Amino acid sequence: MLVSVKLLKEILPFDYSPEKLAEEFTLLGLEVEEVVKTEHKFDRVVTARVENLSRIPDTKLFELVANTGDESFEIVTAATNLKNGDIVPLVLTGGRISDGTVISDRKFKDKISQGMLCSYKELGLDGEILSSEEKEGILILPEDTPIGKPFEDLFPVDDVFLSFSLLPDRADAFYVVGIARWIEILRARKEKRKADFSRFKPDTEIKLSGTTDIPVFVKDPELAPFYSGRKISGVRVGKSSYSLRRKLFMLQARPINNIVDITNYVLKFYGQPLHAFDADKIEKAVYVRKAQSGEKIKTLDGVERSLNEWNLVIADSEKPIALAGVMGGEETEVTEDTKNVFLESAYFLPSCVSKSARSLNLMTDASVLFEKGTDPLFPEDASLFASKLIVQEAGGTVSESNISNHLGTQSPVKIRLSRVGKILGEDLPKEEVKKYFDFEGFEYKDMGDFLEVKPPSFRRDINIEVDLIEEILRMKGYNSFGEKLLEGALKSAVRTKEEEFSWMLKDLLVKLGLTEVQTVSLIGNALLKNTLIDENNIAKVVNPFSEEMSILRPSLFPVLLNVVETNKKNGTNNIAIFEVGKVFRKNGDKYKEEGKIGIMLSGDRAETNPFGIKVPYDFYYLKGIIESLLESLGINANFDAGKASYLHPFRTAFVYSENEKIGVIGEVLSDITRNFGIKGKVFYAEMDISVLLKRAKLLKEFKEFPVHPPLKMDIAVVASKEIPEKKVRSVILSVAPPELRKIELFDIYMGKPLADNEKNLAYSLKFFAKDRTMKREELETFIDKLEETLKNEIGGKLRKG
Amino acid sequence: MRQKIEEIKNEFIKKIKTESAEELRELEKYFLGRKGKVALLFKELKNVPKEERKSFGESINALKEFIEKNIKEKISEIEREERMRKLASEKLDVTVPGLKLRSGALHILTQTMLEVEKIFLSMGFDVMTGPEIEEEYYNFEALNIPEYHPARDMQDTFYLLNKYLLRTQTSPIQIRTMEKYKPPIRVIAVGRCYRKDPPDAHHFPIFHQVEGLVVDKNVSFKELKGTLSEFVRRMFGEGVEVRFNPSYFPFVEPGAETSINFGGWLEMGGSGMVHPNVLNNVGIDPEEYQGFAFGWGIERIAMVKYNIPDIRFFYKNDLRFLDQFR
Repeated sequence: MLVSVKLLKEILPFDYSPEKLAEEFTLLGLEVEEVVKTEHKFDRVVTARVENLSRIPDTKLFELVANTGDESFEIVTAATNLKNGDIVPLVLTGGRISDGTVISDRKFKDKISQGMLCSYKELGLDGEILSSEEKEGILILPEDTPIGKPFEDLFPVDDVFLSFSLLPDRADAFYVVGIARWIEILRARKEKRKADFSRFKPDTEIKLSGTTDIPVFVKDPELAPFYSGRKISGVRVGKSSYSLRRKLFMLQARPINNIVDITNYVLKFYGQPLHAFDADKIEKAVYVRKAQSGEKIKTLDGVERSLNEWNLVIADSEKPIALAGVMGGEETEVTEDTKNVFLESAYFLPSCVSKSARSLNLMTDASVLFEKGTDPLFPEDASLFASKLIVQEAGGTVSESNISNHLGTQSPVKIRLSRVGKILGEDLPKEEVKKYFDFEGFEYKDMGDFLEVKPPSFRRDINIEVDLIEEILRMKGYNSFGEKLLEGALKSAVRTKEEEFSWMLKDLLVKLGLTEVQTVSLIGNALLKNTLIDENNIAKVVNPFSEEMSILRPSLFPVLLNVVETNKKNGTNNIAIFEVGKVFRKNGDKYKEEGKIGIMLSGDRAETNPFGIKVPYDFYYLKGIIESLLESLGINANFDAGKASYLHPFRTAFVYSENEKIGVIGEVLSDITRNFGIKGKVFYAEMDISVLLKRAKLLKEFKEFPVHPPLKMDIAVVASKEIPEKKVRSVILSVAPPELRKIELFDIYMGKPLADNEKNLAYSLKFFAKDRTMKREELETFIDKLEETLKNEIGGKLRKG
Repeated sequence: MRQKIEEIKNEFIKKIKTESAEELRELEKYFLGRKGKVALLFKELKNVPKEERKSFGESINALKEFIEKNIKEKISEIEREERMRKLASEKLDVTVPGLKLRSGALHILTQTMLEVEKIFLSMGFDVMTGPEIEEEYYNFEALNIPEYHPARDMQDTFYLLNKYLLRTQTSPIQIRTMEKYKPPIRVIAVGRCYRKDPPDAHHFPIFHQVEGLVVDKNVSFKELKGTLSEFVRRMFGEGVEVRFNPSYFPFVEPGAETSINFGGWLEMGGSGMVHPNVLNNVGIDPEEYQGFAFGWGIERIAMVKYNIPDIRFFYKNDLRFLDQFR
């Protein structure tokens, strides 16, 4: 919301600079985001009346006399929207328009133009705050605009605007007078007196004649506690006068016609939304009631809307004619032909307007004010004030209003001094508290231990005791309170088990040389398709703002692949990343949210170097990471061939712990990486955090280790290629003596002189005995047994080293 | 005889100037060998008159020792030089860059979260967690934000089906905590939140918050200020100024916005005294217990502290960005 400092100064004088004012407002809780200065860029532009307008024969041009009162200027123009008597801006010879062009006398055939008439663009005005008529050709000003005056004196182009970012509880400040009242509060605080808001009351002195012949029936008084409707007869609808146009200019409101301009003015200035109907188009009476199902209304924006149970409507005896508190209907709109106006001024229940507007997704200036809470006691004053303006602008006679009043009495809010001290951490003397309420213009009664406070009716933010405590804080200043550290039992602070475990995982993975990433958890369908992830039970956002962020990731694979893609494109080839994050799936009527570890590798562990060192990331490197991680967690796991849609079908393993699947690891399908423009192989592993947590044995126990040197022996086994290494190993372990403490595979060989279907696996075995250094002879029975078992169980041959 | 000894010595001194270890060994043989010059001298000793024999014998011995010592020294000198030559031949260009093995690192957001958690853990705050897919009740109603309340506009929400949504704040963890534990409560929660803000330099639909909640019998606004100020001093530095402004969040009253002076006043996050309606919603008597809550953005903290200009950097995961904070 932009508020003109010039306009504020017209309402009440103050000495604050705009910047100081902005700071004071921010400290009051009315945040000013920006101070915006506007300046005119034109020069020597005065208002003039068009006279003696005539077409120059054989041209498309017109000649005219621009009368500035004291002087007259011959002007040639191509504009076609002028008529005699129009008041227009004129740049005098030697003057400048907003783009910097200096205007000199210009010759058109035998005519000389002594200056130029201006459009809004040439004046550099904001088209957003002008009517469409004003934006056509030359800017035509209200008929009663004084002539011969500098344009910037008549329409304050030079101004400073405060750009407010107000929070929803500041219902009292979403309009100019509301802001001005807070300046009064600032002044009252400075001068240590009670705030006086009487100067902000509009002038309601007006002669009323006769009654309004359209009766008002409020069917749902709890939703419309106050409703006033009055008729103003015999109006002339047309353009607003100079003085009203100037006000709209400062309020940055676009003019429509005098009647609508007045309602907009009252809304933006006094914060009371009004609605003017063409009284002759209302059938018999006005009803304020809930919409019935199946009812429709074409609103002022030309949209036909089907109404629902949340909508409160203004209806005549036939049909809805307005959406209460939101927008009027097109059929009863005030037009140039309107002779009689029915002016509505009401207080609608905030939640009612909020629901109604939101149910139609139709937020208007009026609904935004009503839903936050307007002043319930102000509508009749606003109606009288607006009527008075209507008479000034459009003539007519004003009738007594028909009023439906179901406002209860406002009950005071109780505030206990003991409570103030307890919440704020400091006892405040009663007189001090009273002083703060004075500054804000509150009425109160001293009841001894407590006060009964009646805030002004526009203060909708004060309903309970703590609301008043906030006002004390606001007036005393949030920063004039001291600080205190927490007291309490010195118990040790802990993380939840899950949180602690997740930190532990991150720590272990970093130790293994991986870089953590934080990726988006909202992705698009295309990414899912391109990564061949299972598309069943996807958790979808109902109201996404873009397709690319419309579903919750069901896997960390797509997002990590995106990271690899981005980095490869940026020239980083060696990538070893992980993420500890959530993945999501739909689960019947509910949703499932699971913690996962995703690891992705591509490139080489060692950066390019002249030393011939290469440690390419591959399946076994990744497997090593997983094994190392599981070892740190004390989890016994085994790996078996598995399948995943996005992984190489013959280079994928599932990870199991006691027959429960805890993860998957594999080489990413080259079809996928190619689609992503990724050069080189990519490896991926995903582990399930909740199972890891369940199976982790984090409390480590001391295990005795041998003091005697080991007995080393290398063996080699020739077996069929089809036999998994795991099987060979298990055969060795099944016959080995308990002294075998370490078995390491150090070579795999295929090729001559072995047969085509054979491989040679070479192991280094280490034997330790507790009480002695072992001798080779002790292993003879083991070797014999191994030879025999290998032959029997897997058809393998033992080669002794 | 004396002359001979002198001649041999001079000859030796002349010959030992060689630099070759091989020549030295030849020299050793030539002078000290079984048929070497010195041995010959000893043989000639028997021709010397008896009374002079002893004195000559000592002289020859001295010559022998002289030659032995010098040869030994010379050999070790040459060996030293040879070793140096060998080492020199193994010279490395120490200016060649070392082998780069990228070390692992936490994401800068995670580092920030860790720092935040550590500060609050040290102040006795437990760390809680909650789901990212949240029930509407916990995200809004229980926090004093009824349906259709304009305050919902402050947080544009991603909805799922059946009254589920992506939490717009970590505040639902306040409710979950108070439902589970009785006061005194002193917790924080750090987690991922979602709002329907189209991405730009300062907004991203995904972000993280740190939520704090303290409920006890006498926890006042002063403790709120004290706690957050202490946090700021630990996070941003001892001398950093802290400022509080009135603000509005439906689940606190009075509500506050905190700014820090870090090269100009910067808004850091919201806080306030827990609203009595919220305490009532979880069955805690607001007449007996009171407290404060706060919610600050982790991205905001990191951007301010590390001078990061664009929130989108966090989620692009360009290693050239992440590596700056390893």
